[in-house]
Order: sequence, then structure tokens, then C-alpha cells
Amino acid sequence: MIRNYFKIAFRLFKKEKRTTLTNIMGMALGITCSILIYLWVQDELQYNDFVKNGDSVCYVMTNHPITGGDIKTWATTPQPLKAVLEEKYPVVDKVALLSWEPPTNFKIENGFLQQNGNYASPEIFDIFQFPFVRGGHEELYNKTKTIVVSERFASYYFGENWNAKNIIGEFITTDNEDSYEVVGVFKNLPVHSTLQFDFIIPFAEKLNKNPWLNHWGNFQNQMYVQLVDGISVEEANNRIKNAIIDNRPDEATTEELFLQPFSETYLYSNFEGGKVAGGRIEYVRILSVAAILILLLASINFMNLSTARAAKRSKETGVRKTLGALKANLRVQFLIESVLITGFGFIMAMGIVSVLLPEFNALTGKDIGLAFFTPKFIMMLVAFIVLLGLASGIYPAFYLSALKPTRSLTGGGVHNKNEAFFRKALMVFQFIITMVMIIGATSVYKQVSYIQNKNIGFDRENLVEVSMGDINPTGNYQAYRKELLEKPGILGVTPINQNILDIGNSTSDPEWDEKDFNEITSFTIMCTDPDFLSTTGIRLKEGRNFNRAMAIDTANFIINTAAQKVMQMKDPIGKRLGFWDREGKIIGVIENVHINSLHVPIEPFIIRYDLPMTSKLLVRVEANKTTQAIASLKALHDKFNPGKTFNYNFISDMYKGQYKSELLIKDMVFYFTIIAILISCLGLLSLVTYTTNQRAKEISIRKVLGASITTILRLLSKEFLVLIILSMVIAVPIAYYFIWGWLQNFAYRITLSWVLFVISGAVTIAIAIFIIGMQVLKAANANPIKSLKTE
Amino acid sequence: MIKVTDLEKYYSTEEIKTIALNQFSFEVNKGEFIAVMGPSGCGKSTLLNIIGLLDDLDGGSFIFNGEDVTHYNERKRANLRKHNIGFVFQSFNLIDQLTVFENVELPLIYIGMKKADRKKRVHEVLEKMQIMHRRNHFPQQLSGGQQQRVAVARAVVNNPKLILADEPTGNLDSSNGDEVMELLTELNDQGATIIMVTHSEHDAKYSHRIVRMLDGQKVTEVSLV
Repeated sequence: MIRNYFKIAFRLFKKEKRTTLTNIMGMALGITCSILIYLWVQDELQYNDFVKNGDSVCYVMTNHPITGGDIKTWATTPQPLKAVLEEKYPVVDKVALLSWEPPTNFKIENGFLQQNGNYASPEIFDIFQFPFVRGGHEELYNKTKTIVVSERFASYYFGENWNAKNIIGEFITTDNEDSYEVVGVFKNLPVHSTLQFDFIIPFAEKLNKNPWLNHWGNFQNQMYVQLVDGISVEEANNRIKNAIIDNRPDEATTEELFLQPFSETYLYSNFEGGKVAGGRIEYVRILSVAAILILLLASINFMNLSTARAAKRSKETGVRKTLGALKANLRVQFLIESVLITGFGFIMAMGIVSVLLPEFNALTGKDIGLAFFTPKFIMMLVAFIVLLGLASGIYPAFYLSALKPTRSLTGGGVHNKNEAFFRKALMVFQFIITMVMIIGATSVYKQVSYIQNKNIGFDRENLVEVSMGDINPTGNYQAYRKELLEKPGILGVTPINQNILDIGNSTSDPEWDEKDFNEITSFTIMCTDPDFLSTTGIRLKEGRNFNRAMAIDTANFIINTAAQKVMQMKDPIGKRLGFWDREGKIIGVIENVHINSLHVPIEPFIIRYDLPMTSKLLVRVEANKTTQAIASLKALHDKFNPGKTFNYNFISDMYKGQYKSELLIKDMVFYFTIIAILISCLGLLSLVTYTTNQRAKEISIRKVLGASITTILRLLSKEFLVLIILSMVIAVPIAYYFIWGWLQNFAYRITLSWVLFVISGAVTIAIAIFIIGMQVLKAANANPIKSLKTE
Repeated sequence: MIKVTDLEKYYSTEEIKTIALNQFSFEVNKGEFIAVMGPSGCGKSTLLNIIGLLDDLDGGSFIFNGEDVTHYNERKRANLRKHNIGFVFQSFNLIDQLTVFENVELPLIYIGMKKADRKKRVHEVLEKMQIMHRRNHFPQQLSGGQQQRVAVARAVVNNPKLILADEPTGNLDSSNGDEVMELLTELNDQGATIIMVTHSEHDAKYSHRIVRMLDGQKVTEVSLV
């Protein structure tokens, strides 16, 4: 009997090629999307799950209460905390400190090798159990002038055949002339790890060079802990929460600690009010929901197409029933058909996936290969195909098997009010999903373009950041500056102490008259010179710029409007302001500029004329002369920093980099929405075809009685347009709710205007009218005699 | 073999209720060949559908082979049907996607006959209906007469006790029509009970008894033997 079902199914597919192909294509599109999203989600979920000790490995975060009851969460800890945790908190088994370092240059024959690595306490290898292929990390505890490197580093530094050489005990030298003895080579770190380094130098060496790091007030390092076996993160959190408050000897403080399992650090990296508030996990969720919705769309299509074909199948059903088939027999038969269609759709989808995978990898910046074809994956897929097939086929199977043979044999019985309602409800549901996706994609697109085009308070184009190298800001910098400004394509230069887009340096130390000392306000600080405003293009709102000729200006400050607001100064110019080593006056106020990502509000910001603190240069180059300008910069760099590597970054690229997730989600949502539209259109097409077939006789009679094609077009389109408008009415609030939620992630965002909804709706309606029009015109143009005869 | 008493059947829409069968009673004995006649809409086909257990009845009782089947559920009716009743329709109702052989084989699949036995039985019947040479063709490749012969073959393949024929010659020319009527007579001679709905006085003459209907009721009953 089963063979008979397969036979019938294949013959039917062959006979009704178009319907079958539409069905398979709809399924294939849906499955393709789902597989791609599944692969992306799996890849995301894989991050940091390589750790053997699971949740017992945690990252130590600190919560800093600020004015207004808000809490800032930092991923940094003071150095002395390590010893305190080790000695006084038995829930903690091991503690490792890790510095943040820019890429380091190592001397090699004829040049430099740039590598990423850190200073770290050797416990990092005990905690993460990164395996060694040569030597080990034990020596790191004993000698500070030692280094362990990755296999990758070893092959770059010692050549491909480093394995054949005995490199343990060899010395390698940085471009600062520091030499380190190689004591171990570790396996390259897993790709799916947020922790990435190619060398480690003992943290003790960093402390030797920067003794100020020993101070409790310097939150400068990353810290990882391994908890004692059997201790939960929650329990450990309760114990160590006040470790800083209880142990900082020099002053009373309010910073609390909390632990985040290492496995969660990748997906949960946003914090609000001192607690985890999402992160990339939101995109994992959004796309997972999108995958399910798209599959649902494809399933609905199948249901609609199959029930639409019921008229054709009803005779067969009737005959089979007359000959003694039970409902169950018929259901099995129809379910087999739908599983087959899903199976074919799946095979097609696999083909599309393997073709699209390179593009998809390029889009998402991942490296997903076909290696995911494991037996487990295939088993899962087979189960999935059967399930999806059953889910899609269940309604048509029950519907068709329930047709009464007496009516189906005479061609009646397929016009059923409930069934028509159900089919329409499915269509409405489909269009709701599609419209929500269209509105969503449009809003994401608008927000991302808003970010990309937003005036952030300074001109980020043609702005280059270069390292200062050996140039001494209080020494030969002026000579460098003079020479650089004479070069073609260079419009301005200013020394700075940190990246203008990500000023991490912040303090609550500034004091002014009438400061309320119960309030803690955090200010971000930029140390620079009088050229900062002209180079960046930041405008002064009132007061004046620093003056090179006035020595006193190194004690004066320029603040932004946000700082003026928190200081509650109506007329700030000339008011006293002091912090750290300087006591001076406010000489100027600038407009609020976005010195951090648009996810967070603009913070109070203070600019100091403080050359000794600076370590980078910000250079304004002339548009269209960037190549020339970069060449000039390199030439001058080489002259002032003989033997050192020249690095530069465009601020506009860095700006885009800040919104990598948003750009990715914009592209993905865009493509998946296109597919959702396609699938829904296939569904609409089938439904319109079905209805026009059903009403062929009516159309013919109307034509015979003199109806024009326009009248018929209007008559038939009306029904669908009403449904689509209904979908829109339902979709708008749903879309609004979700988009509004997503936009809350941005302190600076687009306003959701009704225009956006109207345009999205209009696009959908236009597409729908096109499809309906084509199909209805075909029916309206048909020769009436033909359909009247077949009746 | 069949005894229906006071059969009632209505078809209702939201506004109107149509009476298809009104207090209809009659009996059919084993081995009889009955022709049911009457104008369109008089309830002939409804009667046939009820006797064929394809439709429910709204009133009255129905005894089939000594068993009261009035309140049989879907499963029981399907079971009774596939073992005891063969159908021949005016529009043949062959499944387009199946070959002649497969169409005729279908009832045997539903009664669970083994494959080898099925093949043998189908061949026997196709030989008898002189359609063997067409066994691998699809219905659309056959003439109307041939299609109806296939339909008759399908109706008799599992040796049903009762054959129900709904205007079996309605779509055929007179020579093909006569051929089908000869076939039915032959089957009747071999012991099958036949109830046939027809408009044709010519075809009705092949039967033993003519039942005439009007407005869902029996009007006359004339024995031809």
C-alpha cells in the first residue's frame, strides 16, 4: 500500500510540475534560511564553550555606583585584588590577571613581526588548560623575562619548521629592545574563544615596568577566576561581592564585584544597573525567531497550496473511500506526499546552502564550512524533515480525508465555509509575519543609516590615528609637527592620549565650587593640545581654545555641555575646576560630541592641555589626497622612529567597526525579509489561482452577461486586498512593539514615524496587487465558453 | 438481502431544507437485478449512496445481509463496503494517476490481499472484461467504453455481493452502452445482486424489476420476470 502511495505521489508531481515546483521551492527557500540561521546561531553559541571546567571559570566584573542611582559596569579590576581573592576567599581556587595590550612588534630579520599578546599571571594556563606542545608555563612563575608563544607565533618567528629546532631557551626581542626567553609553545587558542593571544609574558614584568598598577585605585586589568569545585557562581558572588570594599586599605570605596561565567561573556556583554542586560544573545534570539517564522511561512504555503489542490484531488479521495479506504489510509497517503515535498525541498535547500555558504561567510564574517554535515546533524535533519512534513501536511491530510465521497465524486464538497475561513486566516497570518519583517527590516535599515550618517559632533572622515612611537610629546614633537604640516595633504595634527571614539579614561575626581560631594559623577578625560579642536572640527560654543603662548593654559580646561549640566553652572567660563595634579579654570565649552558609541548617552567630558600624557596622534588629511598624506606620515614616522612599525587607522573605519553587529543584523534581516516576501508571494499566488479557478464559472457568466475585465478585476481583487489590509492593521502594532524594544538599545535613535509603516504597507500591497492582478487578468481574459462547458 | 424501511434524507442549507428521500421503503433479494428510475432530483442517487454506505440517513432503518447497519460508524461502514459492495459510476471515476491494472488492483489492496494473489485476480478480471491488452495504459488513454469496462472490472474484482451502478451507460454511445449492460447481466447471472439507477428505458429492460421514484418516494414497482 505504501508503495502505491509513493507511486501516486511521484506521478502526481510529474503531472503537476508547476504546483509541485512552487511547493518545493517555497519549502526550499524556507529551509535554506533556517539552515543558514541555524549555522550562524550554532557558531555564536559555540563561543567560549571549550572550557573544560564550564561555569567554574568566571570573569570578574566591577560595578561602580554613580550619581542618580545608576551603576556602571567595568570589565576591569585593580591588581591587588588578585592576592586578596587568593588569600581571603576560599571559594576561589585560582586567579589570573591579564593586561590589555596593543599589538606588540618583535624584531625579526629585516623587520618586525606584529603579534597580539598580553602580560598575564601564569595561572591563566591552569584555569583554561590551554595545552603546550613544547615546554610549559611553569617557568613563567619563576622568571619575569620569559615568554610563552603560540604555534602560530613560533612558525612566524622561527619559520615553518620551528618544530624541528629546539626553540626553548631562545631569546626574542621586542622593538623596545626587551628580550624574553622562550619557555613554552602552546597550541593556538580555539577560534571560538573571546580570549585570544599569541604570546604571554609574566604579569610581574608589567608590574616591574608600571609599579603604579599596584594601586587599588587603578582598574586596569582583566581578571579570571576558577572557583573551587562544587561552588556555584551565585554562591561565589555572594561571598566575594564586597572584596574591594572590605579590603581596600587606603580609602572607603563603593565598588562591588560580580562574576560572569566565561561561557557567557561573548553573548552577554551589555550591562545595565550592574546586571547583565543582553548583548549578542539578542541577535541570536531575533534571528532564531526569524528562522522559525520563515519556516512557518513555508509550511503555511504548503498547507494553502495543498488544500487549494483539494478540488483536483477530491475525486481520487472519493474513489478511494468508495473502494474501502479508511480516513487513516488517506491521511497517511497525504502525509507521505508532504514529507516527500519537504524532503525534495530540503535537498534543494542543501544545494542552495552549499552555493551560498561562501557569500554567507563573507556577510557574517564567519568561517562555517560543510563540516557541519556530521551523522548527528543529518539524523537531526531527517527528524526535522519528517516533523516539518507532518506539520505542513497535517491540515491538508485531515481536510482531504474528511471530504464526503458522495460529494467529492460529483465534484462538490470542496466548497466549505470553514475551510475557506481557515485558508484566509492562514494567509492573513502569513502576511502579518511578512509585514512585521518588512517593517522590522526597514526600521533596522533606517537606524543603521542614522548611525552611519549621524553628525557625531566632529568630522570623522579623513581623520587618521597614528601611534606616536618614540616621538616625545614634550620634546621633539614640535619639530615633527612643523615638518608634518608642511607635507602635502596634511591639514592638521594633534596629540591625544586615547582613541577619540572610545575614551576609556574616566574619573570622578574633578572638583568645582558648589560641588555636592555626596554625588558621584564620572567624567571622561581627553589629554591633548590646542590643535585638538581645529583638527577634529569640534566647535566651541563659548569661551576660548587653549593658547600655546599662555603657559597657564595647561592648568585650564575645556568642558562639554553635558559636563556643564552636571556641574550645574549657568555661566561656566572662568569658574574653578581641578583634579589630579591641576587646579585651574574652565576656559571654554564645546557642543556635546559623541565620544562613545550611540548606544550610550553623551557623558560629561573634560579636555586638558596635557602633552606629557599623550601617546597617539590624530591627523586631519585632505580629502582625495589620503594616499599622499599616508605616505608623508609614513616617511616622517620612519624618520622619527627608525626601525619601528608604522600603524595607522582611519577613524571612519573604527566608527563603522563599533557597529559591526548592527551592520550584520541589517544585512541579514534584509536578505531574510526578501525571502519571506518571496515565500508569502508564492502563497498568495496559489491562493489567488485557487480562487480564480473556483470562480471560473462565475467569471464566465459575468462576462457573458457583459461584465468588463476591470469590473471582474475589481471584484476578485477586493477580497484579497481586504485580507491584506487586515494583516497590516494587525502587523503594525506588533512590529511597533518589537522595533521599539530594539531601539531602546540605542541612546540615540530614529523616531518611529507612521510614514515608515505606511511605506512598508504600501510596498506589500503593491506586490500583492501585482500578483493578484496577473492571475485575475488571466482568468478574466479566458474564453468563457471553456469554463462553462467543463461545468 | 437489503431491506430499507421509511428512509429519510434531507439536505439543508441555511435557508432551505430539501427532502431527498421521504419515507422510502423497499426490499431487494439476493441475486436480483433492480433498475431505479425517475426524473432528475427524485432521490435515486441519494438512495444508491445510502445503500452503498457512502452517506448517512436521517431517519428509518437499513438492514444489509441480515445486519442492522443503520447506526454503523465510518470505520465499520468502510469495512462492510470494501468486502461486499462494488460501484460503477456514470463518469467512471478512475484515478488518473494509476494505470488500468493499478486501478483495478486498488480494492484488493484495501482488503489486504497478498501481492501475488492480487496480480492473478486482476489478470483474471481484465481478461474477462477483454481489456487485458490495455492494462498498462492510463485512463485518459482509453475510450469511454473501455474506461467503463475498467470501472466494471474494478467493481467486481473482489467478488462483491452487491453491485451499485449509477447510470453506468450515461456517458457511453449505444453500442458501448449495450456492451456494459451485457456485462452487468452476465455478472448478475453469476450471482451478484445489482441495483442500477438509470434514465434509460432500454437499459432498464435488462433488469428484473423497475422501481420508479418521484420526490423521494417510491411511485411504482414493476416486475419484468
